[in-house]
Amino acid sequence: MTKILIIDDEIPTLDMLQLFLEACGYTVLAAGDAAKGIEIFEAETPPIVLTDIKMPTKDGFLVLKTIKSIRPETEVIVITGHGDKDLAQQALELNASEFFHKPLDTDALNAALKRAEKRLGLLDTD
Amino acid sequence: MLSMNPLLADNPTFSNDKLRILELITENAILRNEIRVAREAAEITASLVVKQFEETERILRKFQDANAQRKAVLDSATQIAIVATDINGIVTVFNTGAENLLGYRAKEIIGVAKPDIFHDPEEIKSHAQEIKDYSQKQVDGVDVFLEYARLGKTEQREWTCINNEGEKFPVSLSINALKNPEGMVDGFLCIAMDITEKKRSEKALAESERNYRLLIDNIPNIVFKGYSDGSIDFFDDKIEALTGYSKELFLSRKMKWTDIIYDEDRASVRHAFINALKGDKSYIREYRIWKKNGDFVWVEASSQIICDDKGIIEFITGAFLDITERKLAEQALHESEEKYRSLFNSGPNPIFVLDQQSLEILDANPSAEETYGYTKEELVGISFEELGTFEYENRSFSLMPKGQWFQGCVLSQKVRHYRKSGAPFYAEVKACPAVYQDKPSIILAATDITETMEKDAQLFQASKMTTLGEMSAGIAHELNQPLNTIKIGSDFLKTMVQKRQSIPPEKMLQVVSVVNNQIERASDIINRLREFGRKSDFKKELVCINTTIKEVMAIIGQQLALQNIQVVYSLDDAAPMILANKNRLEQIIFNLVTNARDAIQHCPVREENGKKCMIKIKSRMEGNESIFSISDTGIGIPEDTKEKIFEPFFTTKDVGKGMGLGLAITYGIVRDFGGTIEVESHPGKGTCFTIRFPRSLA
Repeated sequence: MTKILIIDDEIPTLDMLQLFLEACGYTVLAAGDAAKGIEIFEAETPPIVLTDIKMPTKDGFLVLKTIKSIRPETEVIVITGHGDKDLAQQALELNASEFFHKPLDTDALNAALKRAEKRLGLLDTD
Repeated sequence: MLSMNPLLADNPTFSNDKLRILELITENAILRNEIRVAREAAEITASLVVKQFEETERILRKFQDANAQRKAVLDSATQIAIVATDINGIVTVFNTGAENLLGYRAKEIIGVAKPDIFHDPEEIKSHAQEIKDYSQKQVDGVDVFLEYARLGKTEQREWTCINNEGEKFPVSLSINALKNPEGMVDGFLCIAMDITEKKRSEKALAESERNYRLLIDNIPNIVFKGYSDGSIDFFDDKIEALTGYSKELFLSRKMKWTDIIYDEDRASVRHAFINALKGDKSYIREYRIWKKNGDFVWVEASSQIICDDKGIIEFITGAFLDITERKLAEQALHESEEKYRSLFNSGPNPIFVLDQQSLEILDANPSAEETYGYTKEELVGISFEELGTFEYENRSFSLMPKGQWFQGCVLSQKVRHYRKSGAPFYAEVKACPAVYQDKPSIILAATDITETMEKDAQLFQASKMTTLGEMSAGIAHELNQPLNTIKIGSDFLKTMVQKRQSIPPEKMLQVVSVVNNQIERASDIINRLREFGRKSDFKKELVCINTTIKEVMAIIGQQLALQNIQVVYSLDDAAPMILANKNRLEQIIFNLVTNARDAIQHCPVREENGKKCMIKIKSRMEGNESIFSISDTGIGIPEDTKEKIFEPFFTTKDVGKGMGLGLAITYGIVRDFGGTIEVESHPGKGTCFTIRFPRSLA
């Protein structure tokens, strides 16, 4: 079971995402803010991280940078608000694997996670 | 005693006795006769003597009476001095009147003095000069008095007398010569009368005359006596000053008064005269007369017609008064009143005249009828407060202490008034204290500003829509949050169903709760937006500044946070309510916060030097004011544009980014609620807007 760290300051979203990803068969680690997320990452080193990019205090970019500096091979998928093309662009430049707009297209997210797992060699290739 | 009876003695035949008896009887008879005769004789003599005596007495008494009469005549003339002299002028008679008048006693004068001593020597000298001038005869002393009498003339003239105490007084003195039975002048009779009183009366009369004349000359009225033919007598010369024609022209009947009466006024003058004649015979008329120089003069003639017993007009008496100035002033007043009237009547704005005490409507103009939908008859008599409120410094007019009125004019903006139909409209009311028909009153002019207000509201709305447009991206973010959560939740359920896995009840409940909450959250955002976007009316209500700030920040706070702008609140819970309109107050806060945000975003060095991007929102109470301020750490406002920032359509933003109405509208709203707005700015450091509202007294 692949471990995924999810970081979002919106607790209800975080809860729903956890339920959904667990239903999809992942082990989910949830963090309500960036600092907590980094803390969990350091402790658990999940191969995949899913983070909201716009958060008060430390925003998603900082999380992205930090995680990438700790473990560059980590697959970091960022979630942005609708229409934040610039932010998506910046995230990709910081080596984010993928980006998604809200509201989240869960099928696409699933596919992205599968791709990440493949890249990480966690899944058998078809 | 028996005397011899001759009868008895001559008859011897009688017996002795008888004879004796006879003799005795005879003797007795004789004696008796003798006695009778003697007695009668004596009686006659006595009566003669008495008669003689009485006659003598009577004559004597007559003589005495005559003497007494003469003396009484002299003495009774106590106010008239009668002095007689002999031919040389030595006083021979000096009566009581002379004593009274001159103060000397008769005995010290008679036979000693001449009457010239009773006179002023200077006057005597001057009279002597007159005689000399007249007859070339040199006389002096008493002869000055006697000269004319010596010539057989009677002289009567005024002299000045000097009494024994040296007091001078005027007398009227007449001197006549006295002649003896032979017709020769042997003395003079001088009769002098004190004429001090007469002189005084004459002087008093002259003085009264003079006063009367002065009065006539000095009173502005011209006193006249006129006749029914229009001829007229004037008693003073002022008529010339008034008309330019001399008094004599009228007195000589060369001119009649009616000649100079203004043609147009003549009929009414005649009419007034005829009416007076039928009535109480007195009248007051005002009319114009022509002056000699062609100008006209307004006169007021108050007259009384004097009739004889038969009702025939004898004359008319009265006075003219020049009232030209008054008439001109009246005319000017009339014209000014007319002007005021026409302004009042044709003015486009409703104007009311109110009683200062009761606010009862005393008068209203046609525009007031039209605007308020009442007839003037309906308006007059009711209280103005039935039409709507009148506020001053947030106090309703009816809260004013009775009878107290403001100094000067007061202006009430945007007050709600009602038409007769009940339809409300907004008015701007200006009220000034005035005097109307001698009563303290208020002239109140109302302007229907409903249309202006509507335009204002449209502009306000447009400005809000701009704000909303600017906020749309942020709002989309805000709405996406709950939508995102709901979607993930529902996708979880879908996945579970697709995988034919059963959903544990606690997880089901969790999802449903979250979905519910998120839907509420979304609809809350939508409600706030709708609330903000709706067209607001202008109703004033009690608004809590703090609550309004929190509600506005609920919409845009998240957006600011995501832009890394920290919002710091310092809200004093004691800040009281203000009388305003919530929607408009929200607009103020929106405008100021979004301006603050823009100012921060335009700051080129926002991230450098660890400088924090911050908006501070504070509220507090200070005296009777509720104050709130919104400050930012943005670019600030340059000094030269600071004055212009509240002007409409002034903007520093790029074309298409702002209408330049935000601050103008903010300013307007603040003013509408009796508040003030101040700005303090330091370019490069930030700006602070401070808004003060009067604490609500309601």
